[in-house]
Amino acid sequence: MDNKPTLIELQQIGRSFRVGNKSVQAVDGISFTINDGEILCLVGESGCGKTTTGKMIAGLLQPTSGKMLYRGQDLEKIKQQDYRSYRLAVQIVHQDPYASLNPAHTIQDILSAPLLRHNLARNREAARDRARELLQIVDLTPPDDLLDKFPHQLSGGQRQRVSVARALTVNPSFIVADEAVSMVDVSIRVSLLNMLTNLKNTLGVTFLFITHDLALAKYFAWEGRIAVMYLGRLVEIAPTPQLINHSRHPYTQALLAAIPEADPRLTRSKQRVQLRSLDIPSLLNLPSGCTFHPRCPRFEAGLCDKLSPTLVDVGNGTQVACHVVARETGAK
Amino acid sequence: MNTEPVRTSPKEIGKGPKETVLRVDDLWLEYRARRGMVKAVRGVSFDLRRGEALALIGESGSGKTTLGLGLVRLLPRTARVVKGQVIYSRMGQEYDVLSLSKNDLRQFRWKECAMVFQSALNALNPVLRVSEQFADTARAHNMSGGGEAQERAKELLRLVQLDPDRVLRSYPHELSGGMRQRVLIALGLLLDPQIIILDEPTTALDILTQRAVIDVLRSLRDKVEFSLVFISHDLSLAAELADRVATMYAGTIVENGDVFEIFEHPRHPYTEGLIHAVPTVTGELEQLSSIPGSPPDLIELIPGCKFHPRCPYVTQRCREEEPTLVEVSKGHFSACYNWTQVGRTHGQ
Repeated sequence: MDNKPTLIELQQIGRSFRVGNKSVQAVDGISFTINDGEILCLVGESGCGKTTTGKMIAGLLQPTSGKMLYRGQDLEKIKQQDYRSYRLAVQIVHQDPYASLNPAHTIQDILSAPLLRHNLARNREAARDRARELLQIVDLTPPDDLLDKFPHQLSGGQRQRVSVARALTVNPSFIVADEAVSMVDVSIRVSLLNMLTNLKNTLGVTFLFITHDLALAKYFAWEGRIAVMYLGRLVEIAPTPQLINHSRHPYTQALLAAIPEADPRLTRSKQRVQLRSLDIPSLLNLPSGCTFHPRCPRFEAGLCDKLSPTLVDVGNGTQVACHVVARETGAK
Repeated sequence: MNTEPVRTSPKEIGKGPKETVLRVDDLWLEYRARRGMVKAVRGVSFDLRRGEALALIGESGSGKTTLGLGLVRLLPRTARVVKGQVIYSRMGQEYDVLSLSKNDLRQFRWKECAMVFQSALNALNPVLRVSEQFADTARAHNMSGGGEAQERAKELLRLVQLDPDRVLRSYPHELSGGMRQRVLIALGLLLDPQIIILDEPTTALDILTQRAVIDVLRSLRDKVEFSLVFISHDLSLAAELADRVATMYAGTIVENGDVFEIFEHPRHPYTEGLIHAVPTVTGELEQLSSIPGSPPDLIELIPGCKFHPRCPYVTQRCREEEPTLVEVSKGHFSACYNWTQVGRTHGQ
């Protein structure tokens, strides 16, 4: 992982939104890097800012603070032409395959539009050929059965594959998949994930995989890393096996302990983490210091409610934003 | 359909561990759609015993929600009962829910059998405070909405780990999704029903909130006696809460048995496929596989077993005849001709 060049680097990225006359900090000063060919999973509960972060990385939203680098270049200062190549290189697959495909266009139209727009196909004929290839890549075979269909004629899983094929039209090096398999039935989810893994292996595509489901993140990113967000901040980032089996942040531990497992013996014998409160604070009125402190089982008065922790290295490739864990490991 | 094996004969009632409170017998439901009739529930039979938690598991379009609505006769206008019975028993008395008069039905719903719907936000009246919602429900069932009902509401809210003083004064929008879900569960228990039906009780909730709801349901079952039917696409919820699991596919129950038995020795290829498609969080990486093909069409049903185009054990007979539930071991039923083969391919 270390010798791979850095694709995207976030430096203290933040994003606030106006709600009425208040300002909501949806993402607050997060930093991480994504290397070429890597899989990074962004995990967290609803409202933690994971989708906002994904959109900023895909260039669909501008950060309100911080700096984002694409292949070492600051996206704020980048030339028009380079910005265009960044936007082409980074594609996003949205959560809802029922909303993200234009219902009035056939699959061929959907796939041809970007090909023709970006001169990746000379004419409609060539575009149709390429569309056929792309459908094959996403395991929609035989492609000729699908090209002239409309999205409503496809199942959810098929639609999501079309969304992935559309993202692939412009030969991206990086795909942001935002809850890309959440709306697909369980029985076909794994095949969709396996198809995405194949894209990584055969085309070398880098992935940012955004999900609320740690089990899916574990399955998809076993060789990558998982980053956990809570209320707009990054609380832990670690190689997947490390995070799953030896998580350090109390929030990650609480999440892992709370997840029900599809195995009655396992799930009924899991150790629970008792939280101090079940209430999720509002983004409009965040707790002081560490935002997890009102719920945290390891809360220390005078420390956690006063100072906001920063991400520190605690070994094994793990970074954690927690005063107590940092002190235990002697990290600065 | 031959449904004999799942039925409990009247003689067994009261003899076994617990008596049957709800018996569904060869129930067929369908509804009109533009393309034709959707055969959403096809010959479903099962028993629910007192104090038992039964999970109805299936993917979207398996007919599980239609079945749930059918049990309390809340089907939309476009739906109809083709045939079958839903027998409810209390103190030795039996009645068919499907032939109750309007008035008796009103009493049956909520007093005998409460249903908590999928979307907790939409199920509560947005312009009423929680206390008024409790009072309303009480009054609709000839109880006074005042003192007694409010006391009971407080007690129930405490049972679902909510602060009654704060919650009773709140409007639904002032509560989080998990709190609303717990309010609904408490509201469901208000009239002390024998049965509660929960449709996707934790689906839209965050992990920690979901955990709170699961724990509440579990502790409630220890403290209050009621039978629970929950409908979910989520296998892990069944693993957490169910005593018995029934898997639904294409409108019918294809497997039914004890929760441990179902997860450890599934005897229907669809259940087996589902279990192997869901990752667990704990431990090392496991091998997963999806079920090939796509979900069944409930309008134009294929002949034979509805699962056969996706089944790894398919034989000629499966393409021609639809199997019915047979008892494969004590209390474990599977609708598969090749159930003895199931479990071999994954070699676990």
